[in-house]
Amino acid sequence: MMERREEEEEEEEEEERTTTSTREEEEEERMTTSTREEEEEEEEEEEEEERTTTSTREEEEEVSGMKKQTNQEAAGDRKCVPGILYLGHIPPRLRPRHVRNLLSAYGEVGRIFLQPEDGQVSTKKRKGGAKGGSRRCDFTEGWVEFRDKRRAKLVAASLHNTPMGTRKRQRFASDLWCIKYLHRFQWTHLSERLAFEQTVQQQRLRTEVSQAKRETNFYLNNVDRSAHLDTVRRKRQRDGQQVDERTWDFTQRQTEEEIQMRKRKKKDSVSQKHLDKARLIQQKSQSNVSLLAKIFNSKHQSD
Amino acid sequence: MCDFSSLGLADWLVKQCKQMGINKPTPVQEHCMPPILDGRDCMGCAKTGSGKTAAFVLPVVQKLSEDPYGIFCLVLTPTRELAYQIAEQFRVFGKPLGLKDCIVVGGMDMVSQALELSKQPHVVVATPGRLADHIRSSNTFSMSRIQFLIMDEADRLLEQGCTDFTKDLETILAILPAKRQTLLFSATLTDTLHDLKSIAMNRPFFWESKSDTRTVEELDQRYILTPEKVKDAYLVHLIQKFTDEHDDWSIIVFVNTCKDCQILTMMMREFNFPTISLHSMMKQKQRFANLAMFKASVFKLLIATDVASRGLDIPTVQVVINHNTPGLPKIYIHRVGRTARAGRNGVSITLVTQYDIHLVQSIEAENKTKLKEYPVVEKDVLKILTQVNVTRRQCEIKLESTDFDEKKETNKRKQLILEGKDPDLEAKRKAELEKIRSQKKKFKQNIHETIEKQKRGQLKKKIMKRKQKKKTGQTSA
Repeated sequence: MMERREEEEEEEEEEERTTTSTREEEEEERMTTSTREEEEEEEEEEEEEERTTTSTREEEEEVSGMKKQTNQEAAGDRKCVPGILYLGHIPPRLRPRHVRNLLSAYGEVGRIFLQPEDGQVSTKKRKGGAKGGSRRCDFTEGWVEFRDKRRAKLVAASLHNTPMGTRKRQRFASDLWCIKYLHRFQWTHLSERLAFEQTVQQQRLRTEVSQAKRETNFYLNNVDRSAHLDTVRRKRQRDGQQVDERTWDFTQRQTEEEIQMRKRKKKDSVSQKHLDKARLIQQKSQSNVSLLAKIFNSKHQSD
Repeated sequence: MCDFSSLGLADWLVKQCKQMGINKPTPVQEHCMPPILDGRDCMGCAKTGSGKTAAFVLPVVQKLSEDPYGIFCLVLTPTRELAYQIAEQFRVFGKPLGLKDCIVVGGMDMVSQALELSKQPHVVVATPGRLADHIRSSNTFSMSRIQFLIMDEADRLLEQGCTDFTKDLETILAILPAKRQTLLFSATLTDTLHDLKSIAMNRPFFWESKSDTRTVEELDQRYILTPEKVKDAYLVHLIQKFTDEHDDWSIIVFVNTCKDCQILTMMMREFNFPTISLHSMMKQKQRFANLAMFKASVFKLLIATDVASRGLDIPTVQVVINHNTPGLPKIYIHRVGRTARAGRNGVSITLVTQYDIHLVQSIEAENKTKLKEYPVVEKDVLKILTQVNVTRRQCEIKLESTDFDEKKETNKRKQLILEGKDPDLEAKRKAELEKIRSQKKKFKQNIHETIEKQKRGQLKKKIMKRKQKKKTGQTSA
C-alpha cells in the first residue's frame, strides 16, 4: 500500500514538473509569437539568461528532489538525472527554438543556452552577407540540457557528425551536428562561471578606479602643499632669511644610441665568450655598410 | 629661380605639374632632378615636406615616357600607407602616359598582388617583406630589367632597429640587375651619407639641404614639462583647447606603443572627441580606412604609433603632439614633420616628463633648435585630472578583457615553431631562468645585508671600546 502511494506521489511529482516545463514552454511560445520577430531572439536569450541566473535555486530544489528520488528508486531502475550536451557548431540563423525543435524529438529537452557572437564580428558579417541587413545575431556555441542523462548520452553518440536535418531540403540539412556529452557537468556550472567572471570584473574595476582616485587625490594634495610651501619660502626670502634651493634628481631615460652602447659594453665586459656576439651587435648597430656596398658596387663589379 | 622645363623635363610633364598647382621646383627637386635624368645614382636629404617624392617621381615618369616597358621601376618604402601614397603620386603624374602601377604590401591579398605583378606594371611600389615573400614563392614576374631602384625613407630601410629589413632587402637585391639607377631619399640621411661617401665606387650624386636647423622654420616647436601621472590630463586639456579654438584643425598624437594607442583612443572616445587610431596591430583594411577618414577630416584627431611618423602627407594637420618623447632624435624630426608641410605653418608640442629631460636635450642638440615652453594654466588641468585618470584606468581594464594582442602572441608562437622550438617548453625554460635569476638576486642581497650588519656591529664595538678606554683613562687620571 505504502509503496503504491509513494509511487503515486512520484508520478505526481513528475507530472508537476512536466506541467511546469510545458507551462514555461508555452509562455515562451506565447511570448515569441506575440512579440515582433526582431525582438524574438533577444527576448528568448534574455529569458534563457534569466533562467540561468534564477535557475540555481530551482536546480538545488531539483537536485534535492532527485536525491530523494534516487533514494526511493534505488531498487527501481528509473532515475532521472539531467545531462548536458555541448554544441560546438551553430550554423548561422539557428535559434534556440530551432535547437529545441530539432532535439526534442529525441528526448525531453530542458534549458538551452546559446552564446551570442561578438558584436563586431556580427556587424561585419552582416555588411558582407545578407543584403537586407537583418539585425539578428548569430551564435558561436551552445549548451543543451536533457532531462534524462542517458538520453543525452545516446543523442550525443548517435547524432555527432550527422546532418542536422533528415530531409534534403530541410533548413539546416547541410550542417552537421557537433555534439559532445559533458561528463559530470551541471547547469549551475555554466551560470556560476559567467556570474563569477562578471563579479570579478566589476570588483576589479571598482578597486582600480578607487585606486586611481586615491592616487590623483594624493597628487592634488601635494600640489596644494607645494603651493603653500612656496608662499612660506617667499615670505622668508622677503624677510631676508637664507632659503635653500631644492633640487630633484630623477634617473633620466636614455636615448636609443646610449642604450645600444651600454648593451655593447655590458656584453664586452661579461666574458670572452660573448665577444663574438658583441661584435655582431656592433656591426648591426652601425648603418648597414655591407648592404650599402652591395647596392652601389654591384654595378661596378659587373663593369 | 628656374622652372621645371629648364631642369630637362618634357613639356607635357611641366603642364601636368602646373595642373597640380606646382609651378616652381623646390630646392631638392631643382638639384636632384638633372643628375637623375642624366642617369646617375642620387641621394637626397631634405627637410620634411619639401617635395622629395616629386623629386624622384617626375624624372622616373619622364624616363618611362621615353621607353615604356614591363617592370620599369621599383620603389621600396618602410610602411604600407606610404606605399599607397607614393603610388598615388605616380598615378597622378603618369596619367597622360597611362601608367600602370602595382602596390605590393603586407596585410593585403597576396594572390591578387601576384596576378597584378605578372601583368608587368610599369611601376611597383612595395614594402620589403611582402616583395621578398613574392620573390621567394613565385617566378611569374621578372625584375631583371629594372632601371630604377628607389628607396624612400632610406635610413629606416637600412637601419637595423626594431624591424630589420636586411634579410628581405638582400633577397630583393639578388634578383635586381646590376645596371640600374639607385635613388635614396630621406629627411634624416646624414649618417648614411657619410658612410656611403667612403664606400660607393661609382660616385653617386649627393645632395643635402644646407641649413642650421634640421626642422622646418615654419614649425613652432613647444614643450610642456609635466609629471608622468598628469600627462594624460594635459593631453586632454590641450586637445580640448585646440578643438574649442579651431574647428578645422586636425591633430595627430604620437604614442609609444600599440597598446597605449588603443587605450588613448578609447579614452578620447569617452571624452567625445572624434578620434581614430592607426597602429600596426590593426587589420590592414582598417588602417587604410582610418587613414582615409582622417585625411578627409571626418575625424579630427588621429592617435598613432611611429607607423605614421614617416612620409605621410596630410595637409590639414596643424598640430602634432608627442605623447612620449622619442628616444631617437631622428624619429622626433619625422614626427613633427607631419605638420608644417610645404611652407604651411604648424605647431608641435612634446609632453616631457621628469624622466625625459635628457632625451629632450639630446634632441635639441641634434636638431640645433631650442624648444620653447608652451604656456598652460595648471589649475584647469588639475580640475579634470581625476576624471581623466579614472577613465584611463577603466579603459585599460576594458582593453584587458578583450584579446587585443592575441595576434601578436600567435605570431610569436608561429615564429618559434618555424625555428623548430616548442613554444610551451620555451616559455617554461624562460620562467625557470627568471626564477633562478631572482633567487640569485635574493641570495646576493642577503649576503650584502649580513655583511652590512657585521660591519655595523664591528663599528659599534669599536665605539664602545673607545668610550670604555676614555672612561678608564678619565678614571685613572
